[in-house]
Amino acid sequence: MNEEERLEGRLKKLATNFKYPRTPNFASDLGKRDARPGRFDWRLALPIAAVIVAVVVVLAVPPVRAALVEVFGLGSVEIVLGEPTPTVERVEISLPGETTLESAREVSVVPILLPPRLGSPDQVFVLSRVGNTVVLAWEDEGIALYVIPPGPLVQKLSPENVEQTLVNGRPAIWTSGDHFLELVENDPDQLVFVTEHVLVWTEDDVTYRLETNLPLIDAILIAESLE
Amino acid sequence: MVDLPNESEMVARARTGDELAWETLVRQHQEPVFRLAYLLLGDPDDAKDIAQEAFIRTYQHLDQFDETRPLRPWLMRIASNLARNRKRSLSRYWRNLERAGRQRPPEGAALDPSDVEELWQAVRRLKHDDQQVIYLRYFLEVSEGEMASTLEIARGTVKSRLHRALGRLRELIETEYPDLRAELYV
Repeated sequence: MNEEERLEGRLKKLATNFKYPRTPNFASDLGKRDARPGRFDWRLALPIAAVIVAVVVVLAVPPVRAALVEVFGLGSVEIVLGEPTPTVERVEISLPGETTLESAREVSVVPILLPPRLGSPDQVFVLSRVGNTVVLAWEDEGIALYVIPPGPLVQKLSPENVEQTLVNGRPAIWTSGDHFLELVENDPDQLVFVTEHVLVWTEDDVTYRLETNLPLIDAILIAESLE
Repeated sequence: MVDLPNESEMVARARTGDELAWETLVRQHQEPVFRLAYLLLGDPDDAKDIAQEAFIRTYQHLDQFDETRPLRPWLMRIASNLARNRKRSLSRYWRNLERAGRQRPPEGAALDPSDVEELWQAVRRLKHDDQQVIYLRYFLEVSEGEMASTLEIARGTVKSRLHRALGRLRELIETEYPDLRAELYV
């Protein structure tokens, strides 16, 4: 028997004799918290109602459109609903400014945290035209994380669906459906076509934008794990 | 004889708001989910919070779940990630206390070290991912296929992850647990 087999045997013995606390009955806890699938969060009802009214009223008045856009903003990301789709080819552009994680950390004014579940990113970009926004990409998982410092504005144009959710107990936005991400206003070269879901949330004054094909629950868990 | 509904039927019913179906699913899976949370956190109250949160989040996002697949790996993955996040926020909390001039409690403060099997103490000092594979395989006796689903890795990768985790546990025992080393290897 080699060392690994002896260790495995010892672990199995420990597991067999392990004293767990009594398992609580979680089934009876259901209903103590408002947990129904997809249930609307009524705490958000009034702000959302206000937004809907604002959209109806303001859409017809172009000069006040900027105010409307702000209503849909979260951190450094604006979500522009109803914006005409830009007439550019629907191709993904490669991001400029590929670098290393160490170099990105040197130039970024905000800490670059990583989700432990994904480990070190396969690719790292610093978008100098977007206030040194750092983009971390995990190729195999098809995940990209934008770390956007305060100031620069990133616009997301006409996603098909927008939902409100929570990350670390704070409001966040989940969008799905193909859309364009406008990194620099009115610059078609800085327009990225996005087919993945996107979770946008803020932590202190940093805005995070996670692109992924994972379900919302997994995206939230990744978002909450940054360290 | 009445045929009991299978898991995918129960999930489909829970998705439409059938609370009885969801309660049945919770009862089926609550023990391994709670035990995994307890093994990872070492505190029954924290484990209860995390398991409860895992069930609530799973229920809230049930519409995203592929009901043709087993539910348990998804629940275990959510519980494990929540436990990881809990440990991270606890370590931040203790760091903040340290900054405020207080002393950090020893690792695994919720446990009385004299009551804890030394080998478990050693496992608890491994990184979260290493602990997770050891607990799933040896403590909860999860199959390699289910481990692959829980960890979102290829089935062939499960063995190598386990082998690496055991290697790191062996190194730790050799350097820091002489009594355990003597017991295991002499």
